[in-house]
Amino acid sequence: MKKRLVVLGILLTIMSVCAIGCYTVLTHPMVQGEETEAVEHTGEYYREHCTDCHGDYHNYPYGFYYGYYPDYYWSSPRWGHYYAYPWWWDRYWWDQGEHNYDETVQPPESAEKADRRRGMVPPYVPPAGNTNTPFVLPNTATGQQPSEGQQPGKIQPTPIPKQDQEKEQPKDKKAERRRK
Amino acid sequence: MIRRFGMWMAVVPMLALLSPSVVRAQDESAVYEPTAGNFFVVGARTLAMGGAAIAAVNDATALIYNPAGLARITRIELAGSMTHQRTGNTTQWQFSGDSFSGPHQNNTRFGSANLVLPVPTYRGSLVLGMGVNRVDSFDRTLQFSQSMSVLQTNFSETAIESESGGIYLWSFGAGMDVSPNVSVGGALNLWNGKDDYTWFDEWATVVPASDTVIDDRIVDRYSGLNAKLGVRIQPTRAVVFGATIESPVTLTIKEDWNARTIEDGVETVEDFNFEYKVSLPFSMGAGVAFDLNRLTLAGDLNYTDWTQTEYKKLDDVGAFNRQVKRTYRDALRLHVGAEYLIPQLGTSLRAGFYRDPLPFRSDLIGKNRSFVTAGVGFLIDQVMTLDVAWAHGSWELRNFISEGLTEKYTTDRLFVSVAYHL
Repeated sequence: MKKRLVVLGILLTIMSVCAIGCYTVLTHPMVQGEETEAVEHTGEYYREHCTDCHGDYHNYPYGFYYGYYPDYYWSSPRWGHYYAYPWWWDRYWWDQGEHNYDETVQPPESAEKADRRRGMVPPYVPPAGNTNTPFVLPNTATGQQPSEGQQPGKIQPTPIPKQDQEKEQPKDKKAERRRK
Repeated sequence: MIRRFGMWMAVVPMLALLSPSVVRAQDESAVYEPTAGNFFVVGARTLAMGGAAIAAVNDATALIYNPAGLARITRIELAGSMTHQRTGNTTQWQFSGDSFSGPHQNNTRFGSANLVLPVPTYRGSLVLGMGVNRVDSFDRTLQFSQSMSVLQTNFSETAIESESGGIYLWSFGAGMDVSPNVSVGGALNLWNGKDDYTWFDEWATVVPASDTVIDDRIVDRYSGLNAKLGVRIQPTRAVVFGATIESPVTLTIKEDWNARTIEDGVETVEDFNFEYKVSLPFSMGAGVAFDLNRLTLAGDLNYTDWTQTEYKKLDDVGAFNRQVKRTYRDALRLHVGAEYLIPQLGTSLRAGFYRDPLPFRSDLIGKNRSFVTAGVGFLIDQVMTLDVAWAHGSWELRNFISEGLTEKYTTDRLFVSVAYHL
């Protein structure tokens, strides 16, 4: 029986390892030009640089659990927190050390869990313990609660005012470096 | 499991004069393998939904129902459950018409303990799970009493058959997204269990004067290993499909016998132990769930061909396996359930039904095994769930342990599950 256990264990492990990368990705790949610079993972940064590769973000919300949820998850945040909010998006004590934050200063929300979120703000549930704050959608400057029926994978981008669009055009220099 | 049924030894030679069919029945006597077809639903949410979980599972019990469902868990989950079962039986003899209702047998058991660890991902999902779950229950009791006169011989008998125990699966599994709408998963299951069986049979005849008591105890310890693979597909928001396949398992059974017989005042005691194996066949399942906003509807089918159950490394293994093929048949379990969520109250209301056919040939079955279920679930704060479920079931066996004996069983099950999300 031990032999079968070992063989089955090895087979399952190999299958799991092979399957990683088919769709599931553990971390964002290192982007050329980002190795040394401190990246501020904000919506602005995303719009400037990430769309080079992630033009389909609004169909595939990277950094966010991809799945369908009933409408009530939107209007009842604690259900959303229980079933949909990934635990690694919560802020833990070790996060401060990891990012060398000053303990007296609250880290900006956009910088939390930057390695996983890459600037993506969870679209419907604020961080744990603060379920009363408004929802924040990508491409919005202010909080906005999605209407019922809106799904994580179906988020429609909020129109950006024309003057802001000009302001937020990708800086050519950085974009070119990234495309190399 | 080898069993002695004293009534057979005493009465069959006499009855054979009256009914040739009894002799035929003796040749075709049933063999009972407790690990075949005694699935005990895991988890209060699933029980309340009639056991329909292959597509609808959203908690740690995905390890048992469909490991691909693990991929839908986004938080570290610690979960556990307790079960309580109350079983009663009524027996009736065809020849004498004697009917007997025995006392209920109550069993409170540890049901499950599971840990789920979602691995942080940038895209998709990778979730590990491990735990122990009670998947088979052997708990039951059977009692009967009869008196009859055959060929001017007054005969009376009292018997109590009692069985307790079950199978626990120690599982380690993982679920992963392989596309936005498709998850796959697998679990490795280490089977471990015990069956404690006792058979007390006392019968007496007036002419010739004879008094015999049999008091046997058989303890079986099971161990084995198998795997379960599953897939979960959600083509649209409102529909989820699931499918699973469970590999065969060869259980090693260490059996201890204690056989005590008192015949006309002379007592003999025998103790012996031996080891043999039983191989259980492939099992396949498919399920669908409809997510209609606050209402979830789910249905499962599970198929197992129990005629492929096979004993190994046992004296007279050929005879036992022929008996298996004569006794057992394939079985298709049907589970349907519904869940309605009231988000403002943090409460879920659930109900279901499942038909768990006895895996025996049809002439041994008076009424097939079926359950109605109901339950309620509470979300406490935003980190904990408490689920309570109840199920009531009944079934009827005929001529199973003895020609002319009808066994009617009823059971009530109460499950309580708690899950904590870190």
